[in-house]
Amino acid sequence: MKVYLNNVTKTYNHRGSPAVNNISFTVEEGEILSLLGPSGCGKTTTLRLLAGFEVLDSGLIYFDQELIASQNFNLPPEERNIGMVFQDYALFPHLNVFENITFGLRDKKIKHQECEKLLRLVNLTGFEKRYPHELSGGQQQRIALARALSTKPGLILMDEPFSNLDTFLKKQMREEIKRIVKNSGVSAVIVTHDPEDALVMADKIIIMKNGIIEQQGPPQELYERPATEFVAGFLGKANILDPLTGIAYMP
Amino acid sequence: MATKTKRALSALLTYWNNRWHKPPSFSFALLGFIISLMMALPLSYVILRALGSDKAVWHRLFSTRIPQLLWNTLSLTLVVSLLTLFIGVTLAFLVERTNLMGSKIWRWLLVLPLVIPPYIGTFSYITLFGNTGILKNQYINIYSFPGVAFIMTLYTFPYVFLLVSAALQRINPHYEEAARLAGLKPPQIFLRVILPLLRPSMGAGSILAALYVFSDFGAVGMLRYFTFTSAIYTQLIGRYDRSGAAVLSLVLIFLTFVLLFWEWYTKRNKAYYQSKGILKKQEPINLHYWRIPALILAGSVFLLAVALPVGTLVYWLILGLFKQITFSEFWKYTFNSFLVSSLAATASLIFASIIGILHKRNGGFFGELMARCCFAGYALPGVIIAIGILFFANSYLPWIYGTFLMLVIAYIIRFMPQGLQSFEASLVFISPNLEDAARSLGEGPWGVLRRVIFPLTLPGLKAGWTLMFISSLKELPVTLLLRPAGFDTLSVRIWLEASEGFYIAAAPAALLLILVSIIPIRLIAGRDGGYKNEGVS
Repeated sequence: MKVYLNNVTKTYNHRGSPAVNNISFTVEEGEILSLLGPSGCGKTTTLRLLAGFEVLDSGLIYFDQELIASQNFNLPPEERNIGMVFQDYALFPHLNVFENITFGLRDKKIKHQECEKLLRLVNLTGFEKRYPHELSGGQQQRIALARALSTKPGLILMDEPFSNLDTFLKKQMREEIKRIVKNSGVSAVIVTHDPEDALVMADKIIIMKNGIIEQQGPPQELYERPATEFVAGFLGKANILDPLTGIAYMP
Repeated sequence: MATKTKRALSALLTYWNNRWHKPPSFSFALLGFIISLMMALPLSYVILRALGSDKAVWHRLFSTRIPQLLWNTLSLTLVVSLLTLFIGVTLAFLVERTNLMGSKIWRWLLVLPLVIPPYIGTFSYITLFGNTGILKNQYINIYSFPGVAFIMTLYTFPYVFLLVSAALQRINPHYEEAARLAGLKPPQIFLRVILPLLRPSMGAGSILAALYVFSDFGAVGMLRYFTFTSAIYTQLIGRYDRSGAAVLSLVLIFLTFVLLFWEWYTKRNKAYYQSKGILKKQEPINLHYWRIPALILAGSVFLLAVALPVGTLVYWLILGLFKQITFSEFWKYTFNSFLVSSLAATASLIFASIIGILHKRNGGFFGELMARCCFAGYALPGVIIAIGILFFANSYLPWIYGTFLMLVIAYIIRFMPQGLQSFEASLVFISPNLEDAARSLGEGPWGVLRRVIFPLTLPGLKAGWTLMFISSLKELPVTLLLRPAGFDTLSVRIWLEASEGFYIAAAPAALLLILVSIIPIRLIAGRDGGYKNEGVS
């Protein structure tokens, strides 16, 4: 699925400054896009606008050719054909793995078959009867991903998917999730504050600050040719030349 | 023209979206508005009716009845508040701070009076000392101011006792140690350190007691003492004077709001004695030869409030069993009681979950407004709710007038906030992400309610249902005023038998109500957080 955002603005407190200010970008079919930025930059709001949990003030959002949100119209989340992986995974604590994964499936006959397929995809075959609290963080995350993929969405949204994992597991999960997403062919938007997540996983990175897009492009390009000092500083390997002395310094 | 309408619509939509933290679907919001309208309507109608009634009515009532009623109500409230303060603080201090024998048992024995509806306690005392009471003598007259004040105090002091006990447990011992080092003797410490620190909880407790005195109908009605509630009742039932009843109601509403405002005002600065750090267990004060009098005090309060009334009821029950009175009538009104109460509790639960979600999840101005509307009926005396419904149904809903549906609606208005509170308390433990996850998996708002919220809030919903069911079961004034002719319930029978003197017949009903009322105590004590794995979500 291809996603277009066109001049989207969202303000929470209608007298305050906008959380997302007039942003536009495109997610190509099968592309992994990462929204990167410090906390409060508007990346999560952008994700929630895509999901339909927030209503935008102005602008347009299209999924393929279909308008799904505008100033006067908001397609409810359940009709958008999206999958979402939450920061806290949001697995239903009263349901086991099988019931969690098949929550969104209407057809009873295919439930078992689909669940098995998805569990194989995330390498957790045989976990059907476990409850969320009996799983480790990494396992919960993979179940959350399997559940998000269960309805065969065109777009998958991930909100800080790695923030609750330790460094070692994080490295492993990045690779694994990238593999799973690429294999299933969906488009993905990943929100993160960790530049490494974005650099490793994304085909395209959007760096945001105060509700505005600072720069967008492939990881390589952003890393090598940051457009602003903020982008350079945020992506880590920064050599900013002091305009007066011409000497490089680390901000 | 078309663009103009379009622009107006879009402005309206923006207004709508800004009045919510997160806008709900229109149908869900509409339901919420209908429910909160239903909750607030009868009350508003009483106020309108009173304001709209003839000046002559106001004049007549203000020159005749209202001064006397004000005196009766306020003097009773004052005396009961002072007595509850004295008993409540003394007992709390004895239980929490001294070596009173069996203080752990007293801690919950002294809360038990809350389980007995005051009109049942009154009924017991009437069977003992009333006109045809078995212990009737010329020294004790319970149909008097001291009699009413005595009974009201017995059943309201636990409010003060509970709040002051809790405060005593939280006081930082260092204050007392500091006072000791400054050279104060224990009695001085109590007066100059502890008592000031207890003032907020004493205030809150006595205001609760006072609010109860304002709203109580059963005890004052049975003892033929005229406060506003009983006066409104006779105005309506005895004199068929609806305008008069409305005017008296408005005065009572005003008094209640003054107290509620006062309560809010005292709660505002309640937090100032909250101590930080770890509290160590304090050495209890040795009462020495005061141990026996202290024990007698605690014992006699329990005896008078719980043991004696319950014992009396058991006596009547046994007497009834020996005389082999028939129980067929008893089953009939038990069935009536359970029918209306369970209908009301179930409907309330559904309404409460809709309002709860709109309030806690969609929030904003409208969500807050809806929740406020729903609390209107909870804060005010039942008599006023009954009058509001009576007026409203009579004028606009003749098809429910005189049916037991009026009772169900009244119970919903009166007790739904209990369900709302317990539903919201369990709702805040559920991560909103779970609901969003369900939405992203293709469930609509109703599906989310059914498949995610209901299963996860089940403990809270059960507790809420039980509370509302029991409150409806015990309810007296609303039931008396709104029941269809011949539709007797447990509480109505107790009221009728008390005046007719057929005590044996009312004993089973009274005991059953007390037994059922014990359930919430267990519910509150045995409350666990529901799912173990809440930390995950």
